[in-house]
Amino acid sequence: MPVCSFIIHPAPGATEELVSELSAFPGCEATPSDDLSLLVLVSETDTREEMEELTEKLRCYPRVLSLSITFGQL
Amino acid sequence: MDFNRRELLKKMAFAAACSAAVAGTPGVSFGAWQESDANSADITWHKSPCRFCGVGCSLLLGISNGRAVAVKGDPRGAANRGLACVKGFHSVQALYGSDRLKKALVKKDGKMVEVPITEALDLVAAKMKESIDKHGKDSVAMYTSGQSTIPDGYAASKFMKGCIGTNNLDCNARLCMASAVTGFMTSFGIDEPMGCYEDFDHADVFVTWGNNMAEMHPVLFSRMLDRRQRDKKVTIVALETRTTRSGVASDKQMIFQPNTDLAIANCISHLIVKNGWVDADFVKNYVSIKKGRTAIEGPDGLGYGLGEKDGLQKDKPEPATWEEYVKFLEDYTPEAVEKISGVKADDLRTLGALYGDPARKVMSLWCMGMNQHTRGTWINNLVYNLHLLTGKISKPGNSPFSLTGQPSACGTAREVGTFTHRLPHGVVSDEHSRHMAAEIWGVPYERIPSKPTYSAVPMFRALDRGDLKFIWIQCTNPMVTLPNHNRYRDGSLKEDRFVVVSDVYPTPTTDVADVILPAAMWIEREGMYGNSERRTQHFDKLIAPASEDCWPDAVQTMYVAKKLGFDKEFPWTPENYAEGMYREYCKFQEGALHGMAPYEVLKARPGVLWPYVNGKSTRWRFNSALDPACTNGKAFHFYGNKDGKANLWLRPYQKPAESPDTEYPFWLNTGRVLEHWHSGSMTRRIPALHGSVPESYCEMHEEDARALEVYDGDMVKLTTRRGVLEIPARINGRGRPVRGQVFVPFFDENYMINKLTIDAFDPYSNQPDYKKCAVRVEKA
Repeated sequence: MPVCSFIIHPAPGATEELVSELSAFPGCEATPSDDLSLLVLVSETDTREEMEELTEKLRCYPRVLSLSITFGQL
Repeated sequence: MDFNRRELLKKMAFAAACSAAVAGTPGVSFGAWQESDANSADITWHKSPCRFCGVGCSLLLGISNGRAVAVKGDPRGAANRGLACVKGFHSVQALYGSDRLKKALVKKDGKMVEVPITEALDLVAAKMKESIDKHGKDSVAMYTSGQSTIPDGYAASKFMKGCIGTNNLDCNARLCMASAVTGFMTSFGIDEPMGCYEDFDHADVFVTWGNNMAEMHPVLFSRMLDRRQRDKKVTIVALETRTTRSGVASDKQMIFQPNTDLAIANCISHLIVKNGWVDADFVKNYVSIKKGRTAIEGPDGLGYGLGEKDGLQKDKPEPATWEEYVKFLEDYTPEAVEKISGVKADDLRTLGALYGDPARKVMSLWCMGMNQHTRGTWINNLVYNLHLLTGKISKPGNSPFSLTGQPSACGTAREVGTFTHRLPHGVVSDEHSRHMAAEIWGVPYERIPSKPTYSAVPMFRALDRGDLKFIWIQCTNPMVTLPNHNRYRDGSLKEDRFVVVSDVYPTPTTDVADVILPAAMWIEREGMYGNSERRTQHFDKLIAPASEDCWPDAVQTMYVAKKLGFDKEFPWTPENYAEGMYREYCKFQEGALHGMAPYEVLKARPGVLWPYVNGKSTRWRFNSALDPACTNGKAFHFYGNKDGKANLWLRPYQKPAESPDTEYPFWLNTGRVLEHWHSGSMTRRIPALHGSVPESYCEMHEEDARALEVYDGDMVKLTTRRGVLEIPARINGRGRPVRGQVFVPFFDENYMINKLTIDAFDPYSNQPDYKKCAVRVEKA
């Protein structure tokens, strides 16, 4: 049951939309910064493979400009 | 239960991301995070200094259900003002690596076998006694750490020097700070900086001497950049041997050839004198000019700590005249020093003008570049010369500032004195200091020997030779960090040696141990650290140790001491030892020169500077307006020296112990990276840090790589006179060496670069030079 957290820099103006879309992913909770310049995503997946798939999906997700993993308990 | 653990992990994950985002992006905040913290009934916040470097950031640690789950910078912390670096934010995760040592291990029939901690400590006491009975008290030694807490260090000092009666105690701070100490002692007669971090708020010019602060002291680097952002006249000059993040962020980068900082410092002095920038009144009233030994070879030669020159040497200071000094500097014209150092003469003039301008306040900053140097004492002296000549010292913003590497290299190694030559007050060779120690410790005066024995490298040489039979290593990993370490690893494994290691994780040092003692780590027990600016910080025991058998180092030492009959000297229990030892230690430092804050004050505040006199900290020493210890009735009083003056030294440029030649044509430099702490035994167990820099590498210049047909990531073979290592090449990475040089970080035990480094050291400090030796580079 890996738990990870990410810092995501969204495209300008896309933060709120992304928070709502990413929070709909299974096991994911997205929280925007107060100025909506970035968001934090905490994920919980069943397996390490699912976590890696999620990471890849986030990396390629539209309006995600950059993705940094900040915590990973595998 | 599993639900709780998942929730805990998610909180930690959320806090780590918010912390990193806030730290890395100015102006960003997370109301949701703060709110959840404030409203969360199951997280409580407690102060603690960071576990890692010598900056001494004050942190707030979030504790929930008995676990440390979150970290934020403490806004009350004077060192960091609420900031923390990536290591600090992830620091608590180092407590929870899956392979924490939880049981004592003892070698039986060649295999390590789990035993209760008391059984292991009984064996340690028995082996120590056996060695003393058979070979004498100087056959046993302790090797401790600049990461030991003040009580850990105090227990070791009292045990070895006051109880056993040997000076065979040294520590890994010898590898990182010893030249800073001898620099202070020879220039000022007293250790540690005269200024404090508030100097960052006042200085107009910052000169970093071979010090990559952006990675090694990131929070102080942020304070420096913040100062520049607020005042456009602020200038940062980076003197460095390769391009680092610090150099990139500077206003002026000056790349110099290894070891030539000695010539550069003398060149700046030459320019100050020649251009009339000397503060003549200051020099006349507060400076003594001295010269000392300079021969390299011969009976009085300084050597390089190799062969017979094995141990702490003494200088022979003689007075020198101003005329002699001016003549001495004639060899260091900008043009002459350009040829030696590679720094352009005009750049040297620019640097001279910055130091010389009476309207600009100058802070010089350094750490390992100057200290890990076979003439480390000298280069410390020479940078002090610049500040003494211009009177830019002991005033806010005018500050030569020696930064520390470890969290308590100052508080424990230098102040408590876990060096062979030191006592908690003064040195072993001083009769008064021995009397004081004997009285406070309640031991016979005759028991404390008057001669220092082994500093770090000679201590392991003695183990190799067999002069030492027993060594107890606490809180450090010498089998990764000693230079030329194959020799010392082989020595440790010899038949009749007995090696005890107290640590929190398995390391290459526990691999050579006969007994491994699991230690309580950081906030698993009460303690204190002392940082670079003379600030002592207390932390409570906030969580339970990883297991019942994980004891604090001081408690392990106390148990063995009692077992050997020293009950009276260690009257404390595992519950009250930290307070008891600190209160006893404070007796050594009473007075205006080094008074320590009372225990209650330390407990209440994030940190307190010493000297702490009549309820107030002294922020700038030697300045009569700011320092109550000044008693000479003048504006400045360098009271560490008998004449009340600071020493200005004639110290020439000399070559290092080993330079590139046709067989080994490159320079090898080693050091740290931002993400990893020392030998990596903690940070490599923190997923985010390990993931960022998962392995070591060899930084090369792209043209050197091209000439060898090496591409980024290819394996290169490094060969020195001491060993061979194959390691991936890194081209145009975060650090970029000049042609003819390579740099390798030492955090990765899988690429043990210290097999290759040279165990040459400074004659006065015995600090090894990890920054320069000759290496051959080939495509593997």
